[in-house]
Amino acid sequence: MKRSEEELQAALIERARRLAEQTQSEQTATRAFACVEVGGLAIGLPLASVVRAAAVRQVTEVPGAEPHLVGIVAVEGHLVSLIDLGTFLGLRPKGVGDLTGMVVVANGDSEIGLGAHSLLGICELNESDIKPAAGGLALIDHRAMVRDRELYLLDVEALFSDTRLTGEVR
Amino acid sequence: VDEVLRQVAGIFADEATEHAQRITSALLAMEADPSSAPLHVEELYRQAHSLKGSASSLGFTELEALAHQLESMLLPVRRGQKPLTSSLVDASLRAMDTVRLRAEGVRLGTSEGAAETEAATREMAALTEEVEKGAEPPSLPEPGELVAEARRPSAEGDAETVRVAAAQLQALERRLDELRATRGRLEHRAQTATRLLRSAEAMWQRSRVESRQLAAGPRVGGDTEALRPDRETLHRLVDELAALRRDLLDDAESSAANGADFEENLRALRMVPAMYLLSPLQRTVRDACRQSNKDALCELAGAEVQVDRRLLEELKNPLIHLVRNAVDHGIEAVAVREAVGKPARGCVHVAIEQRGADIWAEVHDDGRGIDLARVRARAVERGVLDDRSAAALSEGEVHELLFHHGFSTNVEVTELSGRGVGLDVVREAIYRLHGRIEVKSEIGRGSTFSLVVPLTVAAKETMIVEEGGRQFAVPLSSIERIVRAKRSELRVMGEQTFFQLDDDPVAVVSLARVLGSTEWLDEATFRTLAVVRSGAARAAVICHRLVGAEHLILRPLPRDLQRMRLISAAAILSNGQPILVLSPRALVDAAHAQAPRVTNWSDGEEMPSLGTGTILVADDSITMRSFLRNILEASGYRVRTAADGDEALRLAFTERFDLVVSDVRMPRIDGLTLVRRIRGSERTRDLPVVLFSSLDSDEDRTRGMASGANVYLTKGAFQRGQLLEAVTHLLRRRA
Repeated sequence: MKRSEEELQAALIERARRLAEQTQSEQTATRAFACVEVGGLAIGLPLASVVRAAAVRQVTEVPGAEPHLVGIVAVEGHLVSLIDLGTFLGLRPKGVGDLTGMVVVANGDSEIGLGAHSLLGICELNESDIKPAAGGLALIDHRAMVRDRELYLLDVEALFSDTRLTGEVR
Repeated sequence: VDEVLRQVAGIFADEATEHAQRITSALLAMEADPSSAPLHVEELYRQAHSLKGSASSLGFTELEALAHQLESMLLPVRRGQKPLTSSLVDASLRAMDTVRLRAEGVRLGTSEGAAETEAATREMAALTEEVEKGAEPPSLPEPGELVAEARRPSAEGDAETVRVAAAQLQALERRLDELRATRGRLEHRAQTATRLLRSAEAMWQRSRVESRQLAAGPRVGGDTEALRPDRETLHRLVDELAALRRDLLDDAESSAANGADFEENLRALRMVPAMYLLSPLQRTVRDACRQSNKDALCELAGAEVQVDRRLLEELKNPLIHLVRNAVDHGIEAVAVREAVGKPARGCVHVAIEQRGADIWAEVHDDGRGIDLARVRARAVERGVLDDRSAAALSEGEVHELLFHHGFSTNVEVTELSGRGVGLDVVREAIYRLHGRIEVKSEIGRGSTFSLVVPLTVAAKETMIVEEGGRQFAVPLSSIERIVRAKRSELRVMGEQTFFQLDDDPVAVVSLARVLGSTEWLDEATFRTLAVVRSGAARAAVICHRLVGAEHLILRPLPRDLQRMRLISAAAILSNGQPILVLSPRALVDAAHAQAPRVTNWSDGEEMPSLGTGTILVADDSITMRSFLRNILEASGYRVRTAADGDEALRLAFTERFDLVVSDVRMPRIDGLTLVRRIRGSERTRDLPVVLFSSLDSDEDRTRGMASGANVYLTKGAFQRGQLLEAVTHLLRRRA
C-alpha cells in the first residue's frame, strides 16, 4: 500500500526523532579517549583533557632533569614539558628515540606533553564497559577491552598532582 | 540575560575591585592627613557613585545598597560637619573588604560575599544613625551633582584606556612567536632562492660559452640555432629566480619590521602603573599597626612608574611581606619611639623606581634597625652556626641569614611574624624574577630592603652559548664582558679556580660542570670566559663556544620546571627550537658554591675521589638540604632532596636510589620511622641509610642504629670527610 505524502513525512519525522534520541543516549553513555601505545601497552587519555596530538620533533633537553623528562617542546607558541609516559608509568623504557608521537593534555591552566611510542587513534567507550583497574600501574585507575585488547585509562588529575611533576626537581 | 551577565561579570568584578581599592586609598589618605580630606572625599564619592551605578544596572542590589550607605554615612564628613573618626574608617574598610569578596563571587557566578555585604551595609547604617544623632540630619546629595562628578575623569584616567585580559596578551605573544618563525622561514627560503639563482646563472654562463665555442669551431653536427630555445628558457628561469629572491627578501624585511613594531606595542600593552601594586600596601600597614598596637604612616612614591604586569603580580606578595615585617620588626611601639626622641608615628616608605633596565622596589622604615648581634646570637641558638663562624660573618652575611627558611629573630610568634616564614619566600620570589635583594640598616635609624628586578621579563637580548653540543641563552645584560684567557691565567686555590680580572680575583666555573655534563678537557691554550654578574657578585663561566647575540621573547617555564634554579626561562628560536635561558644568579652561585662559607669544615681535609650514584637527602631545613646537596654533588653524586620523611618515603618507593642521607627530626614521618619503613619493604630493604642528626646523646645514637640505619652522624661534630667516607664505604659495599 502506497503511503500518502503526509504519512511519509510523519514517518520520516518519527524516524529522525528516534535516531536523534538514540544518538543522544549514546552520547551520554559513552566517553571518548585518545589512545596511545607505550611499552607495549595501550593507554587511553580522556579526550576532554587532550589539547592536541603531534609528532615529536625539536625537543630541547633539560640538564639535570629526572629520567622521565625528555625535554621541552614548543606547542603553538608556548612551551610544555615532554615526559616519557612509559618511564613515568614505570614501564620498561625503550629510549627517547622511540617516542614518535606526543599528546598534550591539560588540567586547569597546566599543560604537559606525554610522549608515546605510537598514536593509535580515538575510541569511544560505553560507560558500562569501563572497569576499575586492578592495581599494578600507578596513575591507571580504569581499564576496558577494545577490539580484544586491554586499554588502560590514565587518571589525568592524578598525573598533574604527581609529586614528580609538582615537587622539587633540582 | 544570564549569558549577558556571565559575559560582563568578570569586567564588573574587576571594576568593583578597583573602586574598592580607590575608596580604600582615599580613606587611608584622609585618615593619615585630615587636612587633605576635602580632596580625597570627593574621589571617594566618585568611586562609590560609580560602583553604585554599575551594580544597579547589573542587578547586584546588595552592592548598590552598600555603596549608597557608604555615601550616606560619610556625608557629614564630606560637608565638613563631622571629622573622619577611626570607627568610620574601620567600618568603611570592612565594607570595602566585602566588596572585594562579593566581586569574586560575581566573577564565579556564586552568591559568595552577598551575606557579608549586607551585614556591612547594616553595620554602616547603624553607625550612620549614631553620627546623625550628634549632627544636622544629613540630606541626600542631589543626584545630578554626583553623576556629574562621577563622569569627571580622575587624574589617572586622563588617557583613554581599555581593559585587556592577560590571556589575550598571551595569545598575542604566541602569535608574535609564530610571526618570528615565519620570518625565519622566509629568510631561509630567500637563501635557498639565492643558491638556486647562482646555480642557474652559472649554468646560463656555461651555455653561452659553449654556444660561442660551437659557433666559432668547425661544424661537426653542432647546431647553435638548435640550442637557442634552451638558452632562452634558462634566461627566463634566471630572471624569474632573481625576481622570486627579491620578493622573498622584501617579504622577510617587511616581516621583520612588522614583527619589531608588533613586539614594541605588545611590550607597551604589558605595562601598567605601579599604583596597582602600591595602593593596597597602605591598608597593609594600617592593619599591621592595628594588630601590633603601633602607629605608622605608609608613604608611597613612584605610583606612575610603568611596570610589566607579570612583575606586578609577582612583586605583590614579597612587598606585602616586607611591609608587614617593617611594622612588626622595624617600627617601635609609640612609647619607645617617644622615649628615644622619635616622632610617635613611624613611617614606612615604599617606593618604586626605574633605574636603567631594572625596577627597584624599596621598603624603608624609620624603626629600630637590624640588631646584628641579635641575629648572630639567634643563628647560634638555632644551630645554624657555631660561635666562631657567627662572629666571623660580615654585615651582609648576617643580613643574608634573615632570608634563611625558618629563621626569625622574633622569639614570640605574633599574628604578623615570628614563625620564620616570609623572607625566604620573598627571596624565592625575587630569584624567580632573576632579581636580587639588597639590605641596608642602621641601628636606631631604620632599615631598607630593596628588591631589584629586570624591568620586563618578556623580551631580552641574550648571548647564545654552546656546551656539550647543546645551546643555551644567557641574558646579555648580565654579561659584563667576554674574555679569552690563557689556561695558565686560571689559578687554582684550594677547591676554587680564580681568574684575575681588573686586579680582582673572579671565581671561575665551567658551564659543563654546572650542567652536570662531562667537562670539556682539551689542550687549547685559551679558554673563553663569560664574566657574568648578579647583584654585587660575579663569576667567570668557561664556555665551549659563543654562538652570538639573539633577541628572544622569553616564555615562562612549564610549571613542573619552575623550581629549577639553573634555568630561569625559555624561548623559541626562529627555527621553532626551544632554548633554555640560564639564570645569571644560579651561575654565580655555582661558581661560589665551591667554597661554601657557613660551615665548620676543616680546610685541610682531603676530598675523596669522584663518586657515582644517586643519593636521596631528606631534611626539613632548606639550608641543610642545600648544604648536603652541595657536598655530595661536588663529589660527583646525583642528589634528590625531600623536605620531610613522608616525601622521602614516597621517593624511595617510586624511584631508584643508591643511598639515603636523612635527618632524624622531621615533620610527618621522622627519620627513625623512615628507616624502619625502608627496611620493611622488599624493594628498599638493602638501601644504605645514613642518619644525620643534631641529637647527639648515646641514647639517640643507639636508637638510630636500632632503627636499622647503617651509620649515625651528628651535626655537631660534623666533618665533610666523615660523611663522604661513610657514603663511599656504603656504596662500595653495596656494589
